[in-house]
Amino acid sequence: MLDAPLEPPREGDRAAAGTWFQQALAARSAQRLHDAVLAFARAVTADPSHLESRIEYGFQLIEPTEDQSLGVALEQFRIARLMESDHLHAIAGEGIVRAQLNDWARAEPLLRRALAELPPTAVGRRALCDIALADLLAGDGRPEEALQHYDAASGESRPPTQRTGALVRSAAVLMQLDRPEEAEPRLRRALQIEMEHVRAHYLLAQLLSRRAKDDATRAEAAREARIHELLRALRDHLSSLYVRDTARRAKLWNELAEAWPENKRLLHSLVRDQLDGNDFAGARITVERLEARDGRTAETLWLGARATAGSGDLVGAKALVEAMLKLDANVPPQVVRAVLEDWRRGNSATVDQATFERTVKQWLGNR
Amino acid sequence: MSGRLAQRRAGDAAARGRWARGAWLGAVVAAGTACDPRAGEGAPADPLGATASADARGRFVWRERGTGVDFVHRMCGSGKKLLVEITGAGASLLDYDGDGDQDLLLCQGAALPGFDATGVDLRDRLYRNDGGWRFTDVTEATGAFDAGYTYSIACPDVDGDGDPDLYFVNAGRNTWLRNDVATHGRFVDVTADWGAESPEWSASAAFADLDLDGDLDLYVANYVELRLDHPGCGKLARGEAWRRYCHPDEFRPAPDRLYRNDDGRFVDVSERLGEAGKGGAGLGVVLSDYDTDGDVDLFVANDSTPNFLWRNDGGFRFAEVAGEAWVAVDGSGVSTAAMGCDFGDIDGDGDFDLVVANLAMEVNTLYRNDGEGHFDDRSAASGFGPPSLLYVGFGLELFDADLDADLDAMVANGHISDNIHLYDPSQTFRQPPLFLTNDGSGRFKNARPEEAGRYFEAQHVARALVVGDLDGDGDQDVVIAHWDGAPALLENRTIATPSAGEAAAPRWIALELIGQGKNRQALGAHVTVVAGGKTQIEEVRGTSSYGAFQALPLVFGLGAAAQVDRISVRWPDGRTSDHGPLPADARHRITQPAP
Repeated sequence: MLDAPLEPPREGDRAAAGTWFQQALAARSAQRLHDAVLAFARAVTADPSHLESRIEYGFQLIEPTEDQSLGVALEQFRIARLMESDHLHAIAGEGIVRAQLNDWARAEPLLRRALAELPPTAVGRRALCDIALADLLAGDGRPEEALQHYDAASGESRPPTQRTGALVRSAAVLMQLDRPEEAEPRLRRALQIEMEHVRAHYLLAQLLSRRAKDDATRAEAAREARIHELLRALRDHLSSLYVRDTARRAKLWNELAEAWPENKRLLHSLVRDQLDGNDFAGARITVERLEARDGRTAETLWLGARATAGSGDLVGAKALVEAMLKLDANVPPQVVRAVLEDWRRGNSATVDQATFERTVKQWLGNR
Repeated sequence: MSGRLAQRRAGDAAARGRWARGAWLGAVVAAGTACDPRAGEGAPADPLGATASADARGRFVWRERGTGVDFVHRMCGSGKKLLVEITGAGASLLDYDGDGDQDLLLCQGAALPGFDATGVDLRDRLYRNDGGWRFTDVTEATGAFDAGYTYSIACPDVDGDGDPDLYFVNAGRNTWLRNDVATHGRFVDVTADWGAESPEWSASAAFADLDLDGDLDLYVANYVELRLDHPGCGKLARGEAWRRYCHPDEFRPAPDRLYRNDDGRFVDVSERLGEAGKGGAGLGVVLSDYDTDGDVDLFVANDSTPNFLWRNDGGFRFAEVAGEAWVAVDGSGVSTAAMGCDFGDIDGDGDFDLVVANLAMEVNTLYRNDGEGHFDDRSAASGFGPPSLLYVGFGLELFDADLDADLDAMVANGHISDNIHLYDPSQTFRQPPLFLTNDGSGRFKNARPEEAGRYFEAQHVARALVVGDLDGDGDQDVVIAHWDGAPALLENRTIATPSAGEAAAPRWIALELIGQGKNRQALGAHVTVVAGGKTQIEEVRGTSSYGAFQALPLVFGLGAAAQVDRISVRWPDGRTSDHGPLPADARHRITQPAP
């Protein structure tokens, strides 16, 4: 099924595809990944021969999100190569997907060619290829070769996500080679880049507990294990049943903040979680805690405005937004709009679409 | 033994070929062993005769027709896609009639709301093994079924009278049938007397003498709350075709249950598990003395919640140590959708490693035991995990399929979304199984389908996988239960058709342990076999994999070794006995010495 014959795509509405493509890129840079997937899909529907959309859509579908679909991603890259057989990003994409699908025989030459020919400026794509090839080599019993490619993907110039991924994967390989002294600094570097990397905390806890010969190491191992356990518990259960259970999630966030006082972002995460779960009252209390700890910042004012709006106090929310804009006049309009979206979400019985649109216009004018 | 059974056995002998020679026993020697020295003599009779419809390519021959096994599992749904209807289909092997061969017990669903059961036989089914790959349906005659939606059937000899009883593990109330076949020709419902009804949605049950008082206690792995009123899941806004079975995360986990056997009645002592026992969506359970401290511990494979490892601290006290043993989650630090599970000494270093079958886009996990009570995830480096990426693994068994003295693995696969292709075209509902061969060091190679056999070239929605020597030729055959379909019987042809380059069939030994007291199946016993300069270990576990039960005999591949130099047994009560040397290619009975 995955390698079913494909026809070269017909041409479609190139202008429409271009518009959707730009929207998709914007959504991706704003980390609205689901919106990006939808927009890329619309672009290739509008013009099946829109090469850039095919390729970027494929890469978006590789991302480990709810929209991940290796089969659809592979189809995009194969169609792209039907249109332009030597397109290096399409070759890279196909190699990455085939590696993930364990089609190693076909993945390896594609990845090696991509790495040989992709320009040095394509740092993100090169890092993805290095990681995919390294995974493949590690699974094939060639750990030393794998480590070389992980190292290439974790260089300073690589995107943070790929850097942490490569560092943590290489640490896992080194731990299996019984070289913990090399694994440990990689894990610590990964955690400097991404503090809440679940696997890095897990492996660090494992590594430390194995060599725990003194009280300090034992204590750090226990703390890392605790941090991992709480982070995992927060990310394991993402069904509506658990997301709605804001009391449970708040308890976990608070325990995490207690176990990990150096991480000052945890209370921010708790507020966002409470907002996502429509627990606006809880969010207001947490914002008060934040402000008591850190003072008022543009971000705490914004979070407070969202919680206040969600609770139904639009006047209070607007005052907080104005205070925020005094601290940072460059806040983009979509940040302000998010406050109103929380207002609509928290008050859906009384705020209809027309009221919402009218209020957006009142608040944002022509911004 | 009833006259009917004796008559049948005598009548079957001529038709059985190798089975008639290879099985069974001479005198049983208390505190010692017994064997049939004629076993293994001569060329094996080819059982692929007139009744076979099988294509004989590969190590496993799929016996699709002519076996008499006409069971069809029914999921009993009506389009609502209730979670309960997608995960079932269990299978067990037991010698219910004491004639020395492996009979087959298959689990059936029960009518769910909206299902028209008119004219549909919804009984679990028991098939008597008549030898020569012929089975007879004895369900009606023996009464070996219950009315529940059955996920698995454990077959422990709970009353210690020498025959296996049946514990039906259901989505809803569990039930007991006592084996009175030898005396009254039937199984008898004794649930009211024996207890352990565990009214939750149960998936698997493990029996072992957990408090070392001589009888079998019980752990029931329960799944999630059973809700038949759920509105459904999936991208329903796109249309009914997108309706899919809900993720278990949509439901609260059902608490596991622990029962202590008090003079034949199971008393609920689940409070001994504490809060930890309430947080897992349990599907598979397997026992092992993983820390080699002499008592039985339990691993529970939980679906999308951290696994449990219950360390037995004696006195019916248990500590949940999966986190500190590093088996709660996989090496990436997140919970997997764990289903099948098994222990085995994969790398031959004298301790039991652990394998777990997971959902697609995870990989199956191999946890290597470091010998000090800790594990590490070697799924990628061992080659065990990567082939499973696109498959949803349920049944998973470690066994020496090619009798070369190391443990191979087989995994029964099948997705839990019948429209998964809509969500990800790289995945399919029907999936091929995996057969992974071990090179002896603990590194696995995914056998090509043509090497494994025709069944492995096809795609299935498979659930339970159970291993046993169905034809008595020494190698281990396989039964795979299919969701909403007929089971597959796979004949292992290792003995009958040695691989290219092998001058002769590899050697083997089968051990039936007879324990003292109520635990006659010696569930929890630890066996060490030394042959040809190699040491192998195994345990009598009963329940393993997913939805499966098979206790005895234990089969060890010996490679070219013509005899076993020594066998050591550590019995469930902690006492030990040594035996041997014993000849290869025979089944031996080892009886526990009297105290």
